[in-house]
Amino acid sequence: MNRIFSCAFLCALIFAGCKKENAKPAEAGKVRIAQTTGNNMTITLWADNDAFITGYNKFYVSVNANEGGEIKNAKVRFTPVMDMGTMKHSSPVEQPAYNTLNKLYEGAVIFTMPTSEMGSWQLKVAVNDFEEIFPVTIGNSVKKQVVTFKGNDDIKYVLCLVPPVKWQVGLNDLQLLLHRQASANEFPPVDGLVIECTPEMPSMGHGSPNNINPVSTGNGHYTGKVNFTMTGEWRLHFAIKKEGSVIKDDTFLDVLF
Amino acid sequence: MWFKIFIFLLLILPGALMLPAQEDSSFRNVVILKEVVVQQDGQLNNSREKKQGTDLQVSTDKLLERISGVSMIRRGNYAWEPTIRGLNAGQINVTISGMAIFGACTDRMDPVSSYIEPNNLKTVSVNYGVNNQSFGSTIGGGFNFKLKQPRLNNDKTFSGLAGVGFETNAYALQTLAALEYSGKRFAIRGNGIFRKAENYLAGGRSEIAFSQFSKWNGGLSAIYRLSENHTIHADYIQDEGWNIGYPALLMDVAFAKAKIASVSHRYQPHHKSLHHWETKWYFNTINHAMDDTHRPKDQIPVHMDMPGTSRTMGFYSELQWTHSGKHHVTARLNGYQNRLHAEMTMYPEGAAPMFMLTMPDAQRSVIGLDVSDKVMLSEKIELVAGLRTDFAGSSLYSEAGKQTLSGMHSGNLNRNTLLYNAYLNGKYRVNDAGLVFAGVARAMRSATLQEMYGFYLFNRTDGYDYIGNPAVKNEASWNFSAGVQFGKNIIVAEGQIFAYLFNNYIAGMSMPGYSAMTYGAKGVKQYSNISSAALYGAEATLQVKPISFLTIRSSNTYSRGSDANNNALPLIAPFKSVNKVGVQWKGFHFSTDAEYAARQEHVSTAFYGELPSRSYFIVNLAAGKSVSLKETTLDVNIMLVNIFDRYYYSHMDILKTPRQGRNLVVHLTVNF
Repeated sequence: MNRIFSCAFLCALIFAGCKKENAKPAEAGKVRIAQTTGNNMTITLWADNDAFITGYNKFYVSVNANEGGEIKNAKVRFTPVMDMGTMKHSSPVEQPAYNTLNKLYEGAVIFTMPTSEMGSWQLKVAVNDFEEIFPVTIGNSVKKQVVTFKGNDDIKYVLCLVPPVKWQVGLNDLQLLLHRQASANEFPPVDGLVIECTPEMPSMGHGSPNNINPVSTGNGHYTGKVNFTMTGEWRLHFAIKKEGSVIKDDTFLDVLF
Repeated sequence: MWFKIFIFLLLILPGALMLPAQEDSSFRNVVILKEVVVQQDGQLNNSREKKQGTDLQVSTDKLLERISGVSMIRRGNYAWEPTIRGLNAGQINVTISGMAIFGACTDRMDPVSSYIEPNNLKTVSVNYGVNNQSFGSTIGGGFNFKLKQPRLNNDKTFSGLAGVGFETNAYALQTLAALEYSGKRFAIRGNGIFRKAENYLAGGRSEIAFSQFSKWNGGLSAIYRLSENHTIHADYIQDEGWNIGYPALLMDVAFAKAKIASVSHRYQPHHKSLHHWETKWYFNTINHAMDDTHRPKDQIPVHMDMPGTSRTMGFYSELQWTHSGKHHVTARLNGYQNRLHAEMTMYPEGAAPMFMLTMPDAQRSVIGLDVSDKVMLSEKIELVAGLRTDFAGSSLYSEAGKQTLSGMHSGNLNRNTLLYNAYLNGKYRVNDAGLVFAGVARAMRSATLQEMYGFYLFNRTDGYDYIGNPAVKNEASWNFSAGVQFGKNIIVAEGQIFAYLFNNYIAGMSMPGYSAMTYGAKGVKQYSNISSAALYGAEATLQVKPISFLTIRSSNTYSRGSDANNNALPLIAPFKSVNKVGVQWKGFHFSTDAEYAARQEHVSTAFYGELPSRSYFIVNLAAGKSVSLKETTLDVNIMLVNIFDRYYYSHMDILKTPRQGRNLVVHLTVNF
């Protein structure tokens, strides 16, 4: 009996010790994805969790000088790369900016397809002149959180849901990101379009009242409100208008909570 | 169950027979025990109900339905919902010995009257509007079910009753018992009933699927005398129904459980001007769960669970004071808090479960004061004047509830309402034979919690999902009534006319663009106010007793209502006439009554979703006999209901679900 207790106590000590080692950003609920050193810096890549999915994924970077001390004014860039063997392409990104609250460079990558036999993803992180490539595995999101479509204006767009911390019954903030594909590797944000959002529960066939269509707020962001009258599977139908004419009216993203 | 009851009967019957012989005064007490209905207005209807309501085996629903002006909304063979002159739900107050209590079901499957049995009751008092008998602000009056109390110092130490009943239609069975101990300082009464019915047959022998039910109800009441004028009372009722079918609705009920408890203190000094002071604390809780698992798959697009709870705690304190023999002042302070929670979880095939709060944790706290004075101005004139004021605070008590409604209403959803009721009723005795009476009242009610905060509550009548509206205004009305009463020789007659003139009548308004949640629903409505509405009608009763053993009675009621847009108000019974011939001969009684209801074509299909109803005419027979053997009486009542096996429904039967066809009812009750 005593042995079991001392064993358990020992384990507890070890775990407690492990926790402490990781302390800093892990305290803020972040998971360390990878770490590298170069140019006298230690660069650590963090995320909210290590299960990346097709859709909107936040990434965080901490940069520390090897002689000690945090570097707050570095220029950090993300470049996702999908390597399909014969060809490579990128995907939309929100480039990181330093967040003084959690002392991390905070950005996001919108993965448009999952890792598969067809190809694999890498995330290139550049800190000033230093570059490091981290392989990342992207799973297929259970619910469709990102959609790529060609509008009537012959432009290829990427529309992505920025999920809140938690969806809940009632009125939720709805945030969308819209980018266009200028080339295989360039995805500039698109502002100033009109997006109409209509929620629906596909299994029930009903919608919800009092939704507020997302409006463009800059950098490709569109914010509005969506009313979920119950938990379950919701589908957000979008109609997108540019200069008064509909460029896409039958695309959707899904929410499950 | 049956076996236990049989044993119980075996145990109590010989005891009853061995009790010391008493004079027949105790039998009169037993009759009083069985007297279930009393109307406050003290008019002719009264005597009729007293006679008819003497069988404790009759269900509360059928008991209420016999009261003049009362009609029942029926969704099956169980838990009918009472209306008074067409006023229902939040427009009337239903209390149990003054205790506020509210059903838990969002689909109105469990009106409060479904949680009590005549076996629990001493009287049912019915109010047709505002007067000094109501325990809350109200428009249309209401019911107060007064619980039977054990008697201190009774002639008999032990008394009670036991009975069984059987109905051929629905193979309904019931068994009931009550036992009372009476001591000098302490008395206690326990009562219980068990009821079970299968599917019933409508006229023409067609079976109505999902109309079965089972229930038991038990009550315990105790009195302890502290001193000459002080007594302590404790009452507890538990009522549990299960496997209850609702053929008019989309779902049945797995269980409906109520626990109703109170403790009170009474100070009753005789011969003092302050002659009654009662203070009561109470608590009740209702758990209700709908059930669709027995319905055929093609009726159920999605399986769902819909449980709900209602909890109320409160108090009242009532003083009765008589001054110089002329003024009878009643003052009553009461308060309660009610909390409602109801939720729905749907389980679509191959998709994630869906959860929502349909009553998003709503609560209401009410404090009210009622002061009335009954004045005998002269030997001929009696006036009752009173004023009641209530303060009601309504809110949502959980974050989940507030979050649920965040997508429907904006801003602070707490609502405080101040209500007042004022009434003046007068009686003038013209001569020995005649009496005229009239009343005027200003009545008010706040919207119910469902009307304020309900979230997609399906109404089967019009097929809409209803959303509450925290901004809905108080409904108010001017109530007028006047009547005459005449009694001479062999004739007793009474006529009464009444009107309710509403302001801010609460009704559902269609919300175009809102999509319904319930499968097959036509759309969404939200509660709102209609500037005005009027409901008026008349009641007339004539009784002739040409020879001592023969009574002929005719009761007739009519009401009609329209709102400001000239739409017929919903759930208004058409003209109805109940005509009865009764014979009492050598301890036997026989009666036959013919019940006629006219067509109801004054309906608004477009706005209130009602369809016209056909007329019906049914005939019932009844016979009975009381057999006395020393201390014990055996009451035998046999009824043949709907003898011509007519297929019929009343206007207020939801979805025109037909009523029972021919039914032979046998009730045997032993009183000791």
